[in-house]
Amino acid sequence: MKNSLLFFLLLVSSLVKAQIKDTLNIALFVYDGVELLDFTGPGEVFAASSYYTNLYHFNVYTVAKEEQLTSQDFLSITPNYNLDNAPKSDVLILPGGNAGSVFNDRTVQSWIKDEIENATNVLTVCSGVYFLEKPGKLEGIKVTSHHKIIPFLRETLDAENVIDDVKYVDSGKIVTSAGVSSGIEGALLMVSKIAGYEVANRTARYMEYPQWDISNGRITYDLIKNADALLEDKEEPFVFGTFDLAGYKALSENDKERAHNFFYQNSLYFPKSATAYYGLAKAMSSTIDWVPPTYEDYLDVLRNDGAEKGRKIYDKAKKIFPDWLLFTQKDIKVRGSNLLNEENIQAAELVFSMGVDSYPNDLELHIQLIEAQIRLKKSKKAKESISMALVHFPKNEQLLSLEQILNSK
Amino acid sequence: MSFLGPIHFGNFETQYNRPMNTGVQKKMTLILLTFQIVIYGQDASNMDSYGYVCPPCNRKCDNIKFTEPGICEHCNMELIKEHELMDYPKINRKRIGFYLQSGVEILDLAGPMEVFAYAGYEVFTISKTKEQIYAQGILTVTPDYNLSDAPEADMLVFFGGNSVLPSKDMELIQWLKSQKNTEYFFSVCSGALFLAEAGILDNKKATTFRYVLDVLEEGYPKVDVIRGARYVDNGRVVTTAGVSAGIDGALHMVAKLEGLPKAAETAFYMEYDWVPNRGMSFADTNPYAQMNDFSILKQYEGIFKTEGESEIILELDQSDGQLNMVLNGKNHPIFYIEKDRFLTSHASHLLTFQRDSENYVIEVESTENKEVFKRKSNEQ
Repeated sequence: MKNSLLFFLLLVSSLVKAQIKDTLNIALFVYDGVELLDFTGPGEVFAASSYYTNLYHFNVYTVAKEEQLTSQDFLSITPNYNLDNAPKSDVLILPGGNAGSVFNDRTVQSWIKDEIENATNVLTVCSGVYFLEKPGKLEGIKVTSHHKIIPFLRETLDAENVIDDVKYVDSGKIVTSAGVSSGIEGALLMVSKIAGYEVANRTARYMEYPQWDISNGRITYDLIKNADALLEDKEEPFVFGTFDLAGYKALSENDKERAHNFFYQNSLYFPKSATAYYGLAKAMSSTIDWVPPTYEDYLDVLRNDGAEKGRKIYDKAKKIFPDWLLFTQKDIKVRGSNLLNEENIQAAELVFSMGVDSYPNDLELHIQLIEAQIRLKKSKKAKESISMALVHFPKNEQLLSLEQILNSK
Repeated sequence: MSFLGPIHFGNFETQYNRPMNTGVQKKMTLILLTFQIVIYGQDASNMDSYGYVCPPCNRKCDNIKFTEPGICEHCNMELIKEHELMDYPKINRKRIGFYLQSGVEILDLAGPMEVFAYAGYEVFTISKTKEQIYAQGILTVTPDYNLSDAPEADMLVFFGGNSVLPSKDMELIQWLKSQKNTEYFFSVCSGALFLAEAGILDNKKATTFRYVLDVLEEGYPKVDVIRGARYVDNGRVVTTAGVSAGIDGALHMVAKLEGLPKAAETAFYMEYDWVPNRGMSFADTNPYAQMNDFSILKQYEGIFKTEGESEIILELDQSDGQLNMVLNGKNHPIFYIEKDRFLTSHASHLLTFQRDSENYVIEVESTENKEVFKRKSNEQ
């Protein structure tokens, strides 16, 4: 405990340096003849996973040179941006398709070159791997592509750098995926790298995509070494997934202590993320008597055993681990709102009160709690909740008007 | 708990350590146009000068021109000279109408469109008005038709994503009810609500996105809601579960209408890990009838070897009638497509078997590595 406290103090200084972005720009580069599933697969993955991570907002958009284009012969698409007005991307997605003239277009080439330099992650799908050629990013890394393209890649690249039989190859900044539907897997891996493994898993479950299995691809570097190095060099800005994936990798090697440390680091760097505690619960489950449930199990408790039981577990967890987050902000809001819809206001009040306790900086949760209390005619409690909320949101008009309504009654 | 189970990372580096030798250097005939353009730096307009095409097969490869004679890798037919096309009857392509509402889930529509396009159908998009549609807030699509000018479709398809309110739109539902010449109705995810509202699912079995199952059941008591199926086929009406289940549903439609081989080739092209027959069917026709026929599968059991050390073992699981490829002691199911052709569970690669003059299976070749594995003679 003393050790970890010391660690915490060390980290506080580096927290200031870490440049953690809230919104990440996810650019889907499209063109006339682009293969539909090549870019919509990753588009769906990022759009859906944006819901499951409470660390980032994924701003997904399409960019093209053309003003209007057709994909798969049938779908007429208007891109959100052109090459001049597109925002700088954090994740650049390069899909395959009937791209002959686009590969040779100098304007496109120079745009892609700049974007690759600027982005933190690049994902290619199918023949999209050839967009890496002109900027000189294809040499020296391990890659994969569609089964028809693999032999051609082998003609120009070192044979051992071209990997078949895999859904994706992660070479660090650049991830290449195999053909068409493999872009879904490549994108889920990318989400693991950025927002965490469990966020990718939840996204796959939402998409009803049981084929997702991280081990069907290949990661060509040592995740654990990478994370260890990051711990030593505190200057480096990083994303949540770095320690998270390394943690799961360590868990798979039964190195629970190391896994624990990685997840613990994430809980310090990303204090608002329940996902970090999900990993911690897994890492600690066999070493101590009682570990709070993972957020998924906890949601099941709220759904199946009721809010009362949930509150008991919540109180127990807070007593032993004061900082532990049992649920994500979004999950608790949805649960509470569903209870309101079911007219189970009492349970909703309990759920929202836990939400406010865990996420006191969320105005929406405060207001939902107050409204539940008003509906239950608990005006004294509602007034207390308003004063609590006003501490975090002084002079907030919505809160003040609620207060006025209560006082006039 | 998650259906992915506990953390099953396995070994990151070596998951598919297959015994097969993967050194493929066999030069291929042109398949992806894009690709040749990259390699040889040719312009697309030069393509017209090439003289070979595959006979009309109603697949996307109908549009590909080849530089030299040979076999089309998409449909396995022998290539013909372009002018010989006139000798073939024109194929009547099925027309599929995709109804799009604003907020439609992008993978819901993209998965089936990819499948149907590759399988050779003509797909068009319809919406209430022709105004642009924002799919999941990220993709801007311009529909081809509105309700008043949409042509009749052989199949109409509805998708999830913001479908609850639009499914109550009486003008749309009236239009849907009036499509008397449409033979098939297909829905992905919560798109089932449109079909339910129009009464198309009445007294039929249907499924939908797992979070919408209750809504469908409570809102439409005449619908027999099935839980846990990837798709449900009633013959003319097929409904699928959520999002990516639309890909399985569409592959099923292709298997049903064009035969299992075409569906398998589509899955292979898409590198989609397809498990055929994973849905529930109450239809009269069954494209998978022979898939688990013990007497057929038995002919392929045995050990197959390359001239080198690579080896494939095919073993029939008598309990479930599943033929498995055994690799490193692990069973990988393979699926019977048609006589002497199988689909593997990894990226839908295709296995092709050869027989000798006595009709005995003697060798197998996989699209995965193009090597010929000969059956060990002592098996005979």
